Amino acid sequence: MTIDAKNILVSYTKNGKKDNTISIINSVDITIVPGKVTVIFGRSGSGKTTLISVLAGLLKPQEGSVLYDDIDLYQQNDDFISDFRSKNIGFIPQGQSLLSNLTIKENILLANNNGNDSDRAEELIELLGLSEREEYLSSQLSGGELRRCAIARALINQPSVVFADEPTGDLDDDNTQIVFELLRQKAKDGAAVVIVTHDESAYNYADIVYRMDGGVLALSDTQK
Amino acid sequence: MNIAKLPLKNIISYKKRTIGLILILVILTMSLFGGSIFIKSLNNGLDSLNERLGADIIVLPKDAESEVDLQNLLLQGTPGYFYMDKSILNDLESIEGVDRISAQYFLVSANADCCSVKVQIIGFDEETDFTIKPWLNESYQGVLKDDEIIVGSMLSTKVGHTLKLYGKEFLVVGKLEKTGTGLDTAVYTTGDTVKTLIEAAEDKGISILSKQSPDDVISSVYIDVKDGYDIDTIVSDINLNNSEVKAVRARTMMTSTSDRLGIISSAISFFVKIIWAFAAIILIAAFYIITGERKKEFAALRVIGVSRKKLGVLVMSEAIIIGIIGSVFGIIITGAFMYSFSVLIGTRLDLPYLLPGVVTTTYYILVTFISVVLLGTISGLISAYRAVSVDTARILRE
Ligand SMILES: Nc1ncnc2c1ncn2[C@@H]1O[C@H](COP(=O)(O)OP(=O)(O)OP(=O)(O)O)[C@@H](O)[C@H]1O
Ligand SMILES: [Mg+2]
Repeated sequence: MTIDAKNILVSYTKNGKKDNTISIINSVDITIVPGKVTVIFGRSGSGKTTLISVLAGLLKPQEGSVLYDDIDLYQQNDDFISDFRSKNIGFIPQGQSLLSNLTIKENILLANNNGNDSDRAEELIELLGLSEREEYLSSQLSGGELRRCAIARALINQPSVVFADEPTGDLDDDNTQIVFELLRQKAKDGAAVVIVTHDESAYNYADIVYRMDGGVLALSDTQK
Repeated sequence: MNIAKLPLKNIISYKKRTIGLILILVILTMSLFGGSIFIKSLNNGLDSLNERLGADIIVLPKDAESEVDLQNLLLQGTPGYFYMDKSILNDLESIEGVDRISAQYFLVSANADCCSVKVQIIGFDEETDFTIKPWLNESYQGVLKDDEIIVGSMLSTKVGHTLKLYGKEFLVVGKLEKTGTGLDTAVYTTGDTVKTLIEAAEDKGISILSKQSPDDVISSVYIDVKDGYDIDTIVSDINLNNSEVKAVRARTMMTSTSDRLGIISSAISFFVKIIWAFAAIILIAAFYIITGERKKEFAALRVIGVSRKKLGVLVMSEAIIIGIIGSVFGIIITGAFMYSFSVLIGTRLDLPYLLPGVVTTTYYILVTFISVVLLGTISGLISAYRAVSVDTARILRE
């Protein structure tokens, strides 16, 4: 699935005053292609999370369109977008986003939309080194374990698009490598993978590199 | 694990939250269900007493105490007795408009072996009685023999058992229907038997009558007025022409009780309304606050593709399930309490108290259940609205 975002504009009005508008994303155009890892680098506050929220159908931009092949996402209703996200998009949020009253495995299976694919869940749990933790409640886990669980959850439905927002933020080097390898593999299998990060080591896994600054996106001049 | 299982999972795993909400709902249920049953039982008690009296006019000896005694006897089951000259019966019979008329004889037992307390003995006239025999509950159809008695529903003796009164054995041949009044703790027999008991008592040195013979006295007269005659006119006629007795309209005698009951009922309905108003506000506020604290959870569900609609349904389901659990618990607790302690409540109240039957109780159960679940649903709706308007992108950045 190819994502084609055009002229994306996100802004917020401060204190409800119209003339006090700050723009977060400024006329961004981006095309995400299947089979490739797209990495977006950028300073804190540059608008990376906002941009991928827009791309994943979680935030409707003031202007611009997001096309998944020929589906104009924000022309659809919420039921459609939600269902579409569930089936096609794996989203790894920047912060903690697991349900604390469910175990690791339950959290992963909750996102599973084709029945209870326990085998697939086990496979991901194993791959991400969570086997010993699988029956733990998510409230009993470390930040890094939670992050890996969120990654497994995002991949449970074999999505054709993966968004990872700082997926290695709280991981050690070994686990960082495992996660990047895993995402790299997803791309090899045909998925469109987008990684948002500060972590320069992501560069080694990237096919296409963007840099974001003050809401403006540009292709990096250090393309591989 | 899937979304459909989530409401129940949440209810079970967030125990404190669940218990808190259920507690509020139980209080709501208890106040509504308990209050309704209580008020209904009081009304039932009064109705049953009115019905049981079955008479339009009651004639008593003309002294201040006898009317109070009769009221205490009827309302609280406090045993008592008083007598007047039997000749009044003939005078009353001849009054124009009197349809049925029957005398009764009262006596209080010395400690009967059935009961830890003294019981009221009421003697009635087999031939003329129209206030007691219609309420015979069990099989007995015949005529009471000298050594036979009928008992009120609250006495622990059974039909076929015997009971000793003033040293004499009596066979229990019938039991009356429950009325929730003092009549439930009385023993019923014929007037003649009461007379022999009075004699037996006097033989034992218990003086009951000062000078008259038991054959010359009666305690009260019940009169049923023919249709078309004015009851009040007859009452005042009796009072004008007989200086020894006092006639009261049965309904008038009940007015003070009825007034008290009205006051109690309105006080209770008032409290039920206050409790509802407060609990409803607390419940809605609790749901509102809880939903606010669950924003992260809702955002997480949105990320994995749960639509706003499904999110709303999820929150609603939780509220409805909790509503159902709370009201069912409340109904069971209240029902168990009201039905196990009904006798105690009745005694404490000094008022006729008769629990409603199955149909009415079922009706109250349904009304309570629906009201409480509805309130839970409304609180849920407010939460659901909050949940679906969650700004996912913003929460994910926090
Ligand atoms: N709802 C909002 N209201 C006001 N300002 C917002 C809102 N959402 C985002 N912003 C602002 O937009 C800017 C971009 O935020 P965003 O989270 O996209 O940055 P980021 O690049 O992901 O940063 P980081 O690397 O720290 O995660 C920030 O300055 C933030 O304060
Ligand atoms: Mg961010």
